[in-house]
Amino acid sequence: MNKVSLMSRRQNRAQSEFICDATDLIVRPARSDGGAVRELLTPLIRASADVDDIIYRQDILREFCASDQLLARLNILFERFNECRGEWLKFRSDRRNAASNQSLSNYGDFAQLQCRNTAGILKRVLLLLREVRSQLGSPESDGLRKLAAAVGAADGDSFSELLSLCGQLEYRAPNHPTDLHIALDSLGRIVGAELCDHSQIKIVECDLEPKGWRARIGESVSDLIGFCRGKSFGSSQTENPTEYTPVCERVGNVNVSLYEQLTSQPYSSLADLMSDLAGQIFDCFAETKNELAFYESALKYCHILVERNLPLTYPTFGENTVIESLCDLHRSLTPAEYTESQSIVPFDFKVDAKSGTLVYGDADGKTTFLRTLAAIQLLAQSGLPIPAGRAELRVYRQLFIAFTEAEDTLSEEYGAGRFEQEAHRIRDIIDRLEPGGLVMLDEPFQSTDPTEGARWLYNILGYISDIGGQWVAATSLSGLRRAASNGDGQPVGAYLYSIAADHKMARE
Amino acid sequence: MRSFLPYDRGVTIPDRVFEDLQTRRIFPERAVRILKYPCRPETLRQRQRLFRLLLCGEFCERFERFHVSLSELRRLDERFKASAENSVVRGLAAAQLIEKYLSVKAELLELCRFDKSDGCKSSDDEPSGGTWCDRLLDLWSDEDESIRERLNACRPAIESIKSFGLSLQGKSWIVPLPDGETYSEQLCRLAESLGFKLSPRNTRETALDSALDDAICRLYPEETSRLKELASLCSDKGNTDITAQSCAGDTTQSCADSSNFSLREAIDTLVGYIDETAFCLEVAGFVRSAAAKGIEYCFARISTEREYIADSLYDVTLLAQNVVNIVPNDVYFDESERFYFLVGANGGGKTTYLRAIGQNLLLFLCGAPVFASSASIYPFRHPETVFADSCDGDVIRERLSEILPDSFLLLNEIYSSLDEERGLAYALDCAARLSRAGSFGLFVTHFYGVRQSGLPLLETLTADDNTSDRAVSDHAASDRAASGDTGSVRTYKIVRATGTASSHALDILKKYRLDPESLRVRMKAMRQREGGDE
Repeated sequence: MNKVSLMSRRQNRAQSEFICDATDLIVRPARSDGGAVRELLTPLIRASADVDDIIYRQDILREFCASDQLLARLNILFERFNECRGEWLKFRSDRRNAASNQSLSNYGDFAQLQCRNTAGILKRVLLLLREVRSQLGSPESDGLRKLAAAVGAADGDSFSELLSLCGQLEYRAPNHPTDLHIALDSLGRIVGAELCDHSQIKIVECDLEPKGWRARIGESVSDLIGFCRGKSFGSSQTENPTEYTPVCERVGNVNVSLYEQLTSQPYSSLADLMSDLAGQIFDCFAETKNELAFYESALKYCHILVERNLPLTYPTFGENTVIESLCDLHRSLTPAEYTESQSIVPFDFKVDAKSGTLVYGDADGKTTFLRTLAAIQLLAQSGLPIPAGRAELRVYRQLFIAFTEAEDTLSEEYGAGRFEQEAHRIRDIIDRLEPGGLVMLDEPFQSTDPTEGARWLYNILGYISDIGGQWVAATSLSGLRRAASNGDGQPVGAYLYSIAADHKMARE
Repeated sequence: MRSFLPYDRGVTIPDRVFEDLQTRRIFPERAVRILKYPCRPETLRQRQRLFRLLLCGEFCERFERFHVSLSELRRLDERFKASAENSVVRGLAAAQLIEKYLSVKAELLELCRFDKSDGCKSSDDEPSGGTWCDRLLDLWSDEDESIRERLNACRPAIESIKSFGLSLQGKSWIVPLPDGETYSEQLCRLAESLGFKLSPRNTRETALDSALDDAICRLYPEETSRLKELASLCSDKGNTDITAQSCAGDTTQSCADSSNFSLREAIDTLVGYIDETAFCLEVAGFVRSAAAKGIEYCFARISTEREYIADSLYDVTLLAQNVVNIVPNDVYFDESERFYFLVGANGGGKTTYLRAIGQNLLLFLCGAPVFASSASIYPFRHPETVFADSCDGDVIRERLSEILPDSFLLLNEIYSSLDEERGLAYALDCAARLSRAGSFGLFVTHFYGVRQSGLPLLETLTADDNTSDRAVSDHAASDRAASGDTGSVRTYKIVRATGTASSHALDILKKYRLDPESLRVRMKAMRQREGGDE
């Protein structure tokens, strides 16, 4: 049974590491919506930079969408699984504390109780896993197939035998005989005392006066009683004279402390083993409940979009970004009572790998566009569908974003001018930017002379392109727009989008 | 019982000698118990061979392992003796003891073979002749096989008896080990089949209860009986005639060879070696640590003529006082000058010189190296000390009346409690008697009047600024600085006193035994040999 992840195909997470330092800004509402959008989006933002992981999650989500009952049932089962784990942790801790307080005389009873309780916990865990196996059936997605394979042993004979063993130990009566395999070392010290099934040692006391008694391994009690009654000691009166009948001997009064040790240590060791096994099982599925919670939120997100008759598409991934009929995400998700009665206008968006994107316009909408784009990128890289007709996206390892309103907050804190604050933020981004990263700038350098601002911004954007990053900038600096549209041989080549007063976005 | 080291037990050095020479500062009591038996020449050669080997790396490592094995044997023997009669534990302890005994024997024989094969290259001046282990090689060679066979024959019984089933209920029962799995084994197996790994917990070691012991004996009567036989072999009251048992229906060769072998005695003998092997390791270790501090050592030539000659002899008891620069001195005693007086300033090194002579004599007499650059010593098997602070006039008279031919006397300021006139008279009288009796010895005294005795005189050397001996001068300067003494400075060197009968030339003749007295002794010895040949 190996560790299973419903979020990543690979165990090595370093490959999928994604850096975004402004998630909160992205999901923060552009307008008041009672926090509903934030509440919905926050658990969904678990972006990965690994395309395989993203597709892995998409497949799982598709399967859950096709059958919500499956997700609900799995959630319940792993909820109980985590409850078992909590119980096991508490039990383990209590056991350590209690053991030191036990006197020798009642340590045997204590050890037997521990053994029964541990067996009970392990049995419950095993039954939960069996039920998970049963619920999964024959899944189609890779992730759920892996989960099914991980609990696949629940169908096997060993699993059943283990369940049976746990049951046997859980319901072992306190006055059940303690039957042990004893091992001595070369100096005659007891170095092994392990519990075994009583059926291995069947002692039947004859009503004769022998020096010893006969014990027959594996026979039924009635047969043995029949054998012993009226038989003389020393002769084998069995029907099968070749049957092996070893002798047994009575043991006199054993020293109290040895007796206590022999009746407690085997139970204690057994309890340790079962606890260890339970711990290893818990480790395998330690994250499963959290991961299922992600899919639960994802399902809710999908349902909202479907209910509003919005398109839903699982993006594919390539070098370029092409989105058709992209809807404003925040408006799509905002509850009805918080929205104005405006329809959501989809737009197309395209940018190739080597270009930046300039979004230009005097009207509102640029920030919303940027936020939508950022959120879409994060959701897509988290494995979620987006509200668009069709989407092919590029996968980034980094996403940096600088919103204008963020600087409003900063300027008060740092007591510096706004322009300086912007520069500080952009410098911070540039310092960490690596090839393959995406930078989004919302109306940068507005707080300075427009001509100069355009020139400096032009250089910065050129630098970002030169080092292999990609940028999207929303601006009303005409100088920058002119430079981009003239294509006057400068490093900055860009797709130009304009946003009109009716918030319609169009490519120039 | 044969000892590990060869001994000559006829003579014992009195304990007062070790007290006076402060031997216990450098060696523990068990070493002194061995040092008190001085050896004859043949024994000395064997022991010197052993110590030479011990100062060679490979042999010493093997010897150390052997010593550790002996300790382990002793531990197992104590455990066996502590176990109750007729018990499983006793039988198993006996098996362990026998196993260890056989392996210790094998290690011992390996050591002997190493010596025989001269695994450690001998030095050119090593005396030829028998080695220390010759006597050990002859000891045990046949009985081991019989014992090993007996032990191997008991192994199946030992394995059977070590596992059994125990049912604890109203009455407790013991049965032969059942075939099935324990719950732990089952759990581990099932966990592994599911892809998990569990590590079974170790059970705390516990002594076997007598009730269980008794039940096991009844459950496995034949096996227990075999173990009893092993225990009998190992016990004092056991069967000493191993050959009789092994011969029953057996055709082993040992039947014809062994006579009256006792395993118990053999084990006791080996266990008894611990002190001796520890002694050997302690001496070798001490020599190595002294050498590391720049103190030379050598194996003294075993002289057939009565003499004690050594160049640069050290008093190594000073190491116990953390003295860094120990000043060595030469020693020259022979038939022509057997007895010396030693006079000089307080703290000049007289007692140190006397202790150096005595301490190294003790080491020589046990076969150990001496701390000198070279030495030739006769085995004076009766070293004797008379120290003023440890005995009164009656004791002195008594001791001096017991002088034996092979004595070497070390007298330290006796009669110092008397007035000068009487003390000097007694000292002169004593020295004259001892000298006439042919005794060898050194008499340290403050009575400067002994110069008139005519006996050889040594004195401590005091350095001054005019001394030509650079080393002496340097040492004197450092001593002056340390003591703050503006007067005469001690060098701790012992030299012949000026104005004695010896001239410088005569000293040289004496060193090469060309002086008149030495020639007379040579002639006498030669005539004795010729007379013997006829």
